[in-house]
Amino acid sequence: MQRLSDSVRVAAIFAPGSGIRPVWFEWGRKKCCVTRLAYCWKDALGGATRLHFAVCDDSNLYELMYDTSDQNWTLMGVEEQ
Amino acid sequence: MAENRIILHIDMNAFFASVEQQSNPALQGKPVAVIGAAKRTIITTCSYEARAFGVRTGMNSWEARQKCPELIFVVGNNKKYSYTSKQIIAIMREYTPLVEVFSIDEAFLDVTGSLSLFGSAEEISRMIKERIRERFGLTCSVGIAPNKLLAKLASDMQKPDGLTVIAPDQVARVMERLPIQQLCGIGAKTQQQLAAFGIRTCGELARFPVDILRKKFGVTGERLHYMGLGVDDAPVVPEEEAEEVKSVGHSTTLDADLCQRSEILAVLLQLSEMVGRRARKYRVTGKTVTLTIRYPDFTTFSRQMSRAAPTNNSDEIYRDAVQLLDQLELAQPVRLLGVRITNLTHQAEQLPLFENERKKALVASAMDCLNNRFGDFSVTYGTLLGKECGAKVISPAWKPEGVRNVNAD
Repeated sequence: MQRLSDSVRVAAIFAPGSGIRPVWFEWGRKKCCVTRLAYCWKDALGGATRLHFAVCDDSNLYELMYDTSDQNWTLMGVEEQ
Repeated sequence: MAENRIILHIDMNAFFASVEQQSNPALQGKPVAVIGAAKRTIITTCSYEARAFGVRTGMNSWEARQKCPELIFVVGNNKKYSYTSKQIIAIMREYTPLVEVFSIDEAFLDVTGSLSLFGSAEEISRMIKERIRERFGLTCSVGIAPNKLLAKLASDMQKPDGLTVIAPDQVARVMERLPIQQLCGIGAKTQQQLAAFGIRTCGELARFPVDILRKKFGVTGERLHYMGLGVDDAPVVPEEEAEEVKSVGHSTTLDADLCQRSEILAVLLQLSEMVGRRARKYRVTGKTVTLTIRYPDFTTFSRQMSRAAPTNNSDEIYRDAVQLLDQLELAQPVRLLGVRITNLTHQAEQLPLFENERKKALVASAMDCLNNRFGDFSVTYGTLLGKECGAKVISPAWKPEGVRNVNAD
């Protein structure tokens, strides 16, 4: 996976009791629709809790990260399939 | 000890590799090997598809590539495995409070008292397996038996995704022809020593005169006799009741063999800071500092020294490690370095008497606060600036909770 650290705009569903589900995100000029949430996990960087999502669109695998301390989304990596 | 205990051993199948296959659907059904972040690491776990080619944990990447040219190497992600492991343990704890975490991907459960709530041990096992599969897409093998020794043996009998029961009335039959090396706790050396007595199966071990075993192995001789019989009284010990740890240590395989003193010192400082920080976090101090070195030919040795007073100060641990290094004449470049403190005192912190010592403790505490808030090594020693610190993959023997040894290999 190619590692990145790009700020991205993400549309996500925050529903009570069911966690967070990214629906689409904009990476540069490209809009990527999430077709599959493959895996998610949580970690912490210092005091900040970060939620990681391995998501697929029609062609690639992406790792999105949501930082709960500043509520920003970052694209952490991409793997072209 | 309750009679007729029912113990489960749950063993995640190819844990790290399976997590990676779930995280990346393109890897599913393919031979995958999880390796460390360093340039030269061994295979930590490989998928069952890779195992079919003869790839095994502990092989170096070159060796593995020879066995399976299509092998896909994936750099491990500690945090992902640790999170998954904690979640899986939380599922297990919903069925019994008696969960002993054996390693990041294995646990023992005493479900004797849970049967009236959840049904039979097989039903509990199926529920746990189903929930792990639903939540993470991962499979595990479960062994059900009257004790930990047999439960671990049972979980090994059907992999992946197995469920094996050894009922009390089957124990003698199972043990009779079982090769001794299949028992957890009998390593290559013990196996060799027992073979010298003509013992190759558990049945032979059980029948062998226990006096001779005692004479040869001491206290362990008696335990070996009972192991041959499939008897094990060891309780399932949950984390909160586990004995206090006896050491805090870190080791790392280096990206390239080092012979320059300055480079070795930089790694020692990094390891000492990791040891000191974890010791401070868990409020333990150590009176003995141990330095471990491995050469490229895998010769490994340790040197240790005892201090006048126990410490968890990174700087003091580092100075002792350097002193130990200076007493050595390195015969070869260094492949692996490790620093450890032992002879621990728990919960025994007191404010240092002298001002200089107090200042050091305050600096360490301030650094810890900053690193806790902004992430490991956000504030560190000048000599470590620009160096990548603590990013290696964890060993499967690591436990996700508590103060434990972490081998960064």
